[in-house]
Amino acid sequence: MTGLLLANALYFAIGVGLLPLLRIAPDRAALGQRLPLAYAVGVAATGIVAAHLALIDVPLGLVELVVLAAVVLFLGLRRVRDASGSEPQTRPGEPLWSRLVGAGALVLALVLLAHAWSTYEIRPLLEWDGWAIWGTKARALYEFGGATGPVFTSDAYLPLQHPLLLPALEATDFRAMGVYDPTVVHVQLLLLAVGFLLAFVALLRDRVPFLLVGTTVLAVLAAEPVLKQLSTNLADVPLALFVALGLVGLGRWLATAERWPLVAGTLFLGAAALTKSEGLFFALAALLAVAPFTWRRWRELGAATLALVAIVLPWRLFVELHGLPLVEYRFRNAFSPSYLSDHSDRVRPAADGLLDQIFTSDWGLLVPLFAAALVTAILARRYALAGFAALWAVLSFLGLVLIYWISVIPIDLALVWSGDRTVVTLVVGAGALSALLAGIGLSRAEARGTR
Amino acid sequence: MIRIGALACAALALGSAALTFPDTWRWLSDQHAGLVGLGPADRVQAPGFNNRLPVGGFDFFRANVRRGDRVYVLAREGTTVRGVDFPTGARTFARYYLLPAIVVDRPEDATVVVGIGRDPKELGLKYKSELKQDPFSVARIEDPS
Repeated sequence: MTGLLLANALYFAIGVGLLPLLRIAPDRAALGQRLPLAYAVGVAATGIVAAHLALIDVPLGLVELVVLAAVVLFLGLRRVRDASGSEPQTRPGEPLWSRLVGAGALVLALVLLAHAWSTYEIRPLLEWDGWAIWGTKARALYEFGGATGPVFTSDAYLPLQHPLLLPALEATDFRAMGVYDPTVVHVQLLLLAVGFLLAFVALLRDRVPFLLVGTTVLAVLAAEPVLKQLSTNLADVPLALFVALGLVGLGRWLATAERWPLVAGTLFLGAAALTKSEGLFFALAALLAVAPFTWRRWRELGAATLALVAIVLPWRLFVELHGLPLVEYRFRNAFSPSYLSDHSDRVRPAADGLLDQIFTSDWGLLVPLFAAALVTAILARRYALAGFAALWAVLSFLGLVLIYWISVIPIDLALVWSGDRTVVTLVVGAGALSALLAGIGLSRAEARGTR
Repeated sequence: MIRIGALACAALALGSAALTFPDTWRWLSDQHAGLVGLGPADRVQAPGFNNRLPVGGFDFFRANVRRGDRVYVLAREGTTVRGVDFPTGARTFARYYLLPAIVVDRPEDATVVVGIGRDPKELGLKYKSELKQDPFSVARIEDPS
């Protein structure tokens, strides 16, 4: 456990260094204010680096992490000292009772995560895909140091199409622990949820009433599928958490014109794209959804898109180079009218099955919350933000339907196997956006500055 | 109006948490109660037991294969709890459990054949050595390079 916690302290240190380096926190005041983002930024960045290094058989261990953290921290803190300026105070006026309720909700969320910790630290790998796919990849990266061997390239180890951020992160943890421990590694999964909570607060607390920040993050983390599925060692919830942070970053950039949330959001979307294959699709849907409302800022959006492409490119090259097959569907069929027509009988059951999973009571009131938040944003004349959120949700849902449409697996079986997992990103992403949608209209300050 | 909308959203978020928090808390508590008694060996073997795979046999395999081995899994017919056929289930578990040995699809690529309810002799290969622990067997073709 000590090694895993040490590795995570180093992820945090890397994040602290990256905040000024990526201009997410260019000066001391901003660094202090956005410090809760550091862990999630560090995990996302280290995960991306570890996944890329795995492609060329370079393992990331404790020594490398220490060196990386020291270098990034040194460069970052040096840069923050040189910067100047102070953060404009834009916190919406909020009565004391409202702040107290928000803080209480946040404390409850932390209590829930602490309770989960005691379960996660003793939970072995139990669910099939948790060990058969993700556990096998993580262990193989730990054993072999990289992904060029048969475990990642041979048909005997199908499916091969899953990108490597999560197993690479876990393999780094194993190296830090000095042992393959399939039980303790569950704590890493829980720390992703802790990082989500902290980053969510940091992204919103100076623009959105704390009441909404606290209650929304509690609603998301308390939803049964989140901690339940996260404990399985499947990548769906980590994907959802990265996408949700990416959406909130993009949404804040759209609403306020500050540049730093776009940088943070793009990093999280990049991490999402390397967590699961459909992460790229959710990330592209986010950029596509924001584009109609930010065409005047096309340079910034273009840079974000290029950054996302740069993050994903090494993995895509690896897939092409090794001819890794995608066994569940052929993406080109999505553009084949004859194929789509021949399989059109799958659309209705796919849509119905996904809607059933989205509207299940396990999610509590997250979907009505998203709907109410959209209405509130429209009332506040935050049309662009409401349009972005609605468009992302629609694109994501249609994209999921399309994937089930072109899948070669019988539709009933496909929905039973994965329907409850594939909607997680959609519901968690929409839930996370709700705080921004409902609260940004209350902000006293309008868009100003470019930080 | 905007303030009312925001308050309604906060109320919905709180209501959502009120609906789901107790179930999530209970599920975590139940998991803890069910798992806290497991010993270190149980935790390692849990993926196999949870899917009704013959973990004892795989421990026997694991003791007799090593890094660099290419393993062919020869398994009896049947099904697993996951609904996949038993040979696929056994091969999938071997991929995970026997690491850092590698599982291969064809016996001619293997350095060692492991049998579950089947005799490696069926394959007509020439073995250097053979170990049995009924119904499991480990037949070595060559040492790993």
